[in-house]
Amino acid sequence: VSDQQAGRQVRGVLETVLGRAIAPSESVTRSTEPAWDSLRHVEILLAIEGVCDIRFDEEEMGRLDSLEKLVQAVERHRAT
Amino acid sequence: MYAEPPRRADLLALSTPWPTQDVRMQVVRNQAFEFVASALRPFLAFAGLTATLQYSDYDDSLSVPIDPRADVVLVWLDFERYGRLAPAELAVWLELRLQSMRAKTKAPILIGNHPGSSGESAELNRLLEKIADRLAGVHLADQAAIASSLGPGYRDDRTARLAATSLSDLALLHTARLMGLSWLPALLLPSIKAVAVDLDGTLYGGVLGEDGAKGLVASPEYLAVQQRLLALRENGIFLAAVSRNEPADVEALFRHRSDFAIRQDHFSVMAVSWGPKADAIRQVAKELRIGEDAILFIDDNPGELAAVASAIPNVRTLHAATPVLTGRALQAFPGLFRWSRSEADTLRIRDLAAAATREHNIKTAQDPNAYLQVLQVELGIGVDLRSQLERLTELSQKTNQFNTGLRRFGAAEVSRYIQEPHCHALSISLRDRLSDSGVVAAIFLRVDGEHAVVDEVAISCRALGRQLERLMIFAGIHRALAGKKVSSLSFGFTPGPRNDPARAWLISLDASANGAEVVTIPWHADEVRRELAAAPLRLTELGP
Repeated sequence: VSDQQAGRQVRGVLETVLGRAIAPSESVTRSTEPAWDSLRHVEILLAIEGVCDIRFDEEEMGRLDSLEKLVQAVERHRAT
Repeated sequence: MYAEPPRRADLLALSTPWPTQDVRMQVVRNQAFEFVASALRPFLAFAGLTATLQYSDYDDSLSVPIDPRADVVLVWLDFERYGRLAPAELAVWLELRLQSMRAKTKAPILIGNHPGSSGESAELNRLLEKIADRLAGVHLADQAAIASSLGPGYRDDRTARLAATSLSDLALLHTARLMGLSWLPALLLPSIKAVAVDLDGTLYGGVLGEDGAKGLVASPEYLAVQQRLLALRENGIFLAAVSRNEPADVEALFRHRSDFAIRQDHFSVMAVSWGPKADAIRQVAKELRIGEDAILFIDDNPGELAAVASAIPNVRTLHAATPVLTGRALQAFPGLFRWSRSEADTLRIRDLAAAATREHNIKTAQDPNAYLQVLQVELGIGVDLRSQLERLTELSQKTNQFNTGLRRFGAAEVSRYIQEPHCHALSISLRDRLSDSGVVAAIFLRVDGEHAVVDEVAISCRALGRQLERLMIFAGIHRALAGKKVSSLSFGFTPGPRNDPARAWLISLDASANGAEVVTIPWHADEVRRELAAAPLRLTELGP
C-alpha cells in the first residue's frame, strides 16, 4: 500500500468526521480546527483504524493531533 | 449497511437523500454513547428515522429528570461501575429507578444488559429480564449477545481510558446496527407483516425456466436465506412467493427439490404469473388482508424493485444482490425484529388458511345466525389481564382498519388502563371450528359515573368479515361494566387513511354519526345481555 494511499485515506476520514473538504496539500491540525474536539478525535482514530486496517498504540493516540502525524503513524504501523 | 465487519468511516460517509421521521431519544447513562450515536445515524436513516439525542451527564445514580417529550428513553450503563453491589442488590435498585422513569414517561424504555460472561453478569441479566417483564414498555438491548458473538473483541482498554466507554469500535458499530435496524424501529415504527420473495436468483441460484428444477443451485448461502425466511415465519411473519414463472413449473420445483429448506406450503400466498410484480404485491396484500406498506419485497433484479417501488411507493424493498447479503439483511431489516414471539404470532399464519373457508361459508349462508352456528364461534373475554399487555399494545399499535381511536397506545398507557380503578383494558379472543385466532380485539374504556367512554376499539383484520364485530365489542363491554350503573356509552373516533370499517360500524350504531368524532349511544345492559344470550356463540372467560 503506497504512502499516497495512506494520505488519501486519512484525509478522507478527516473530511467525513470534520464535515468539510480538505485540499491534498492542506495542513490540518487539531489546534486550528474548531470541530476537532475530544469526541471527534476518538471518532477519527477509530475510523482510520477501520479504513487502514491498523491499530494505534494507546500512548500515541493522544498525540496524533494533525493530518500529517496521523499519516505518518499509519505508514509506521503498516511498515511494521 | 450489512458489511462484515462494519466500517465506521463508510457509515459516517453515508447521507440520506430521502425524508425521515424525527424522533427524540433521551440517553440516561454513566458511559459514553456518542460513538454508538454517530454510527447509529445511517442505520436509523435506513429505517426512515432521524434521532435527536438528549444526553444526561454521566451519572451512576441515574437521578436524571426524564423528558416527557422523549419518544424513547435509553438507559446506557457500564455495569462495572456498580461492582460493589451484588446482582440482586443492583437489580432491586435498578427496578426502582426504572419504575421512577416509567412514572414520568409513556415512552418505551430501552436498557442495555450486562455484556459480561461471568456468573454474576448472567444472574444480573436474568433479573433484568424479569424486571422488563414486570414493567410495561421496558425492553432489553441485548449487549450480552453482541459480546458473546465478538468474544474478547467486545472490549477495548484503550477506549475505556480515552473515550469513557469500554466497548471496542466493533462492539460500538454492532450495537449501532442492532439499535438502528432492529431495536428502535421495533419500538417506534409499524412492523413488517409479510415478506414477499422472488424465486429465481433470490431463493436459489439459477433460472427455473432455463435451468429446470434439477439445475437450480441450493448452495449453503441460499439455504441460509431459506432458513432465515422460515425463522421469520415462525415469528408470525407471512411469506409470499412473487415470481414470473409458470405456476405449474413452480409447483413442480417445490415437489422435486426436497433439499430446499423451504416448501410451497410455507408460503401463505403464491403470486406466480407473467404479470407485473406490482400486481403480485397487491394480490399478496389483498389475500393477507394487510397494507402494502407492511410488505417487504425482496428481488435480485433492481429493475423489478424499482418498478414495484414506483407503482407502490409505500412498499419496502430489499435488493438480493447476493445470498450472503440477503441473509444478513433478513437478520436485521427494519420492521422484522420482534421483542418476543407472542401466541398471536404463531396463530396468525394458521388462521389465514381458515379465512378462505369462512369467506366461502359466509357468502353462501342464507341466515347469518346459521353461519355462526356452523362455525361454532367461541369468544373469550378478559378484563384487565396483565398477561395480555403486549398483545393489547400490539393491537392498538398495528390495527389500521377496525381501529376507532387510532390512539396507538404504548405499553405504559395500556398498563394504566389495566391498573387504574375506573379504566379497563379488554382482551377478546376468538376461536371457531376452523381455527383458533387468539386474542383479536382490544377495547380501552373509562367509566365516569353513569357514563362510559370507549377510547379505542381495535380488532385485528383477521377477525373481520365474520359479522362478529358487534357481538365481540358488546360482549366485552358488557363484562367490563357488570355491576356498574352505566346508562350511556360514547365511542371516540379518529379518522385515518384506512379505518373506514370502524367508521362504518359506528354508523351502524347511530346513523347520524357519520363524520362525528364522538358517537354516544344509550347502554341498556339487560338488552345487551339478551342479545348475547340469543346469539349462536359461546362466551367464556379468558384466563390470566
